[in-house]
Amino acid sequence: MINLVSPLGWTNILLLISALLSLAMAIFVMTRGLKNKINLYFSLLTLSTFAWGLSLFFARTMIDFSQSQFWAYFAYIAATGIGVSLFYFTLNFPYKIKNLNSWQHCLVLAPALIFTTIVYIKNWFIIGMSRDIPNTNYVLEYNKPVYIAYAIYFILIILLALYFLWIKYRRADGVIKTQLGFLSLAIVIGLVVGTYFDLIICYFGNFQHAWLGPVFTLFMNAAVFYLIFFEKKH
Amino acid sequence: MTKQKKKICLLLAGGTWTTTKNKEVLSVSKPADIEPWLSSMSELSILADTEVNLIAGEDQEIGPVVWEKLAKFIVSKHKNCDGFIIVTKPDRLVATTVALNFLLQNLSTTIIATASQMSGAYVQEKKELVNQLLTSQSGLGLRANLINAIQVAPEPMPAPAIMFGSRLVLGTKAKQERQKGLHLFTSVDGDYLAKVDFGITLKNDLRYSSKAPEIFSKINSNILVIEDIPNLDWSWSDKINKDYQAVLIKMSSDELESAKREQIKKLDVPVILYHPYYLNHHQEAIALTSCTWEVAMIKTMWAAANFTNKKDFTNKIKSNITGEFLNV
Repeated sequence: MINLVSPLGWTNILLLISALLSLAMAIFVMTRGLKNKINLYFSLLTLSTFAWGLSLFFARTMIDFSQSQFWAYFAYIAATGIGVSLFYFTLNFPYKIKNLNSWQHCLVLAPALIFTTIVYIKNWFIIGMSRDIPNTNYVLEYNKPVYIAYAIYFILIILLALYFLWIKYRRADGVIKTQLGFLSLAIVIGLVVGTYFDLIICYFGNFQHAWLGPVFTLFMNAAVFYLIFFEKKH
Repeated sequence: MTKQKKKICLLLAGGTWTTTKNKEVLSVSKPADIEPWLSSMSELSILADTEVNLIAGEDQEIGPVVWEKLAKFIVSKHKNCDGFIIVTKPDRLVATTVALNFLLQNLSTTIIATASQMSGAYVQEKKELVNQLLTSQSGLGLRANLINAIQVAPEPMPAPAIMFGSRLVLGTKAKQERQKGLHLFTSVDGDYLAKVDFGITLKNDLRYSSKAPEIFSKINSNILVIEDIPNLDWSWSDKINKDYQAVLIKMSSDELESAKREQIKKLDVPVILYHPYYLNHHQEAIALTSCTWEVAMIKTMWAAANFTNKKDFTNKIKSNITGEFLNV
């Protein structure tokens, strides 16, 4: 049984809407065919942003402490999914820039697997949680060295993704330059806001603005929506 | 285990202009130009195992001789390649694709033609235009066109097609346009094989021919092309029958004037009347409609080169050989 605080408040409603829009985008891109790696990794990326937004929504609004805690912790699994799928998406969009060998794949995936595994192990990643139900807010207490390692991994993987986009944008001409320009800008906006409000200031115990991260990923969905439906230049 | 890269044959026949990081224009006119040209587009070797072959340089005329050479090359290599990409001059792109369509009928290999926005042997003469394109398009478009072409080349295609900008269009449906100094290739009936939006999306219901492949080696023929303007008389020498294998008349109306019909009757060579949509019946000529002008021209050349018997020639012109007739 899902018991949510009432009223939800506009920030939580916005958070839920942004999560549902990400889900809609994920389903739409999936219908275009997952054989295409661009579609595959973008739908994984939007599914992860959906999971992230939904977990933050439930973590903020669920009355039951253990349920809220489950979702607050789950946000880190979803965020790891965002980092990994963004990495593979930018590697392949709009064309593959590099063929990774097995150990390079391991270097990307192994830390992600470790961090997602230890999220629910007590005191390994997260030590505890305190809640402010009336203001639909919560604060997590981290195992700081592990959290810093997680933040470094996340930022590194994001920087690599941005590097792939930058390299391709710099070399590109014609229609590919337009594609890369739109999407890179939207991804950068989402990442800068998300990293600041959901990774950096959370380290200092400020979770009040965590809802902004998923909302800003909507720019990314809007850019893809524009490319598919409105960019008709030959 | 690493996935085996697809082998793509890149055949160069003009239209190879591209720019380096330093905004220097590179093109391929001789074999020694290939290495620096290819190095400036390092992405291509990541996407596929590319084998580059120079068929004609930027300084050469792209016409029947080059088309026959391209067809011969493709036939000799098609079992070893997953797809072929032809780079040619933008103003010869449609004709080249249509020519390969008639030369290599129902060949089960993908042939994609593409081009740079600019071509030719003299870069200096066009420097101003290059700079304009560098400012407005960040380049001459070849890199993007080739990247997109390489991604679709391993996929089965119904017939030779053109990848240019954000569209993949069948050669037999392609129409060249110019907008703000840029080349554009649109489909005459709005039907595209693929579009480049967020990735490359291939059309779902692509139709493939079940006919056996038919390979022709000749397309080089002399045809006299006349653009008919009503009330403007024709005059030609008596040597027409000797110099030309066929006469192709581009009609601007559905009816040919009686004086011109009399002139045609005196000719021994086959005469084709072309109109994109509709023509009245003319006993003395073969009517060709529902296709693009490039198709009409290349089909006439191909039929004249391969069928000397007038009846066979007429049959071929009237038949929908490779699906070139449009439902217009």
